[in-house]
Amino acid sequence: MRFHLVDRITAIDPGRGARGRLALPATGSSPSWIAEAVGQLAAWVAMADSGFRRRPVAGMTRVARISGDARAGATLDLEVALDGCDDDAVCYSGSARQGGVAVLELADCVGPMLPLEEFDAPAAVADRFQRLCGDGLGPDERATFVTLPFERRDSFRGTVDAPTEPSFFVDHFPRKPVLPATLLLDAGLRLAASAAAEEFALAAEECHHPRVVEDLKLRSFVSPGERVDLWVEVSGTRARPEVRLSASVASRRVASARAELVLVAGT
Amino acid sequence: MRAVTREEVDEVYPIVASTIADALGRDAGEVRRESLLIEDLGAESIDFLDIVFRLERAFHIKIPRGQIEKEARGGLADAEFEQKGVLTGEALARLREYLCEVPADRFRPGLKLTELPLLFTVETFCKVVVRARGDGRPPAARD
Repeated sequence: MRFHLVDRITAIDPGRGARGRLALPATGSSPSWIAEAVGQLAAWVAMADSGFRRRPVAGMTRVARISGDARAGATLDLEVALDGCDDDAVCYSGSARQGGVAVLELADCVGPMLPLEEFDAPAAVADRFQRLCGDGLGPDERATFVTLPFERRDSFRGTVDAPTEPSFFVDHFPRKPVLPATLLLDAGLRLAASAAAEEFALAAEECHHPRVVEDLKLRSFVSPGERVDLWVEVSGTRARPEVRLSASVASRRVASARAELVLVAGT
Repeated sequence: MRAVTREEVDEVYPIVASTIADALGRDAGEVRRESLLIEDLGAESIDFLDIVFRLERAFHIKIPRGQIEKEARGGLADAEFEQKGVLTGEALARLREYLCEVPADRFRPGLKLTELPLLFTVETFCKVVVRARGDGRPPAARD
């Protein structure tokens, strides 16, 4: 699975911010996917600032506002601004826009910085950064859209199995394969939508879409082959359900978040 | 390193406690001044980053990463502070003084540097905030 979601870096202010582009795959898109792209752009700025000694990993997102639906195949303009970056953590906010209109905004994200060499070959990463800042990635190097199937255990619980195939983890990461947290969040949001639909007895033509994700916190890596238990608690109203998401592997908590959904009719 | 008074801790405690409760998804009533963040409140390493980030926002301050260790270490060189990852007797004495809110029996010989967060209480973070504010002004005065 190709998992480099930034196709090109169009402007960079070293250590402070960047703008970039992502052509969404024609096969699909999701808010989690777009949030990952914004996070990856921040990661490029942070890695370059560290001289490619450190890299951030998924940590926390205080707020993600999903303000529109991005079309599959559309080109998004990405932008990030770093609030701080050192050897321990990077703090940033960012957005993705389609035709000048925000489709997703991230505020107050924090990613722990870890030794890059544990995840990837630093020279190869630095080389990719140079190409991103030049002509960008070729079509064959662009990410392929992926969602993970989850098996529902009951109305509010499900499981996701992290793949085992080495090819799935070729970009994430070459030296330390771990399940991209964005795929876990995507599965959690889909479980949340189906749980809310059941809780509020939606009609066939109605569904819930995520609009806000708050206090997303990734606590632990998920390794290939691990089974992740997801569960949600639903409250709020039919028009605006509120959901608490949790994920664990055996007794190990791996992620948690709160989300606000919105009722969409006629889809 | 300046001493922190009881009054200064009292002043910041309500915001620090509610910030920690929010970060850990706890009810406010579960958080007490002497609560150990890991043992009593279930904090994990990512939570410490979260708490520091939230405190920076709440108090409009900057808390450098590793600040507690840095302040506790004072002028001790690396070898005086830890050897092969284990805190020295001198380091434990420094820590007992710096983290005076932590029960003395927590500073057991053989404690590892990586286990330092096991000692942190809610009051520890109150003191970090007071020291980071420096001038003693309440957050409202900085807005």
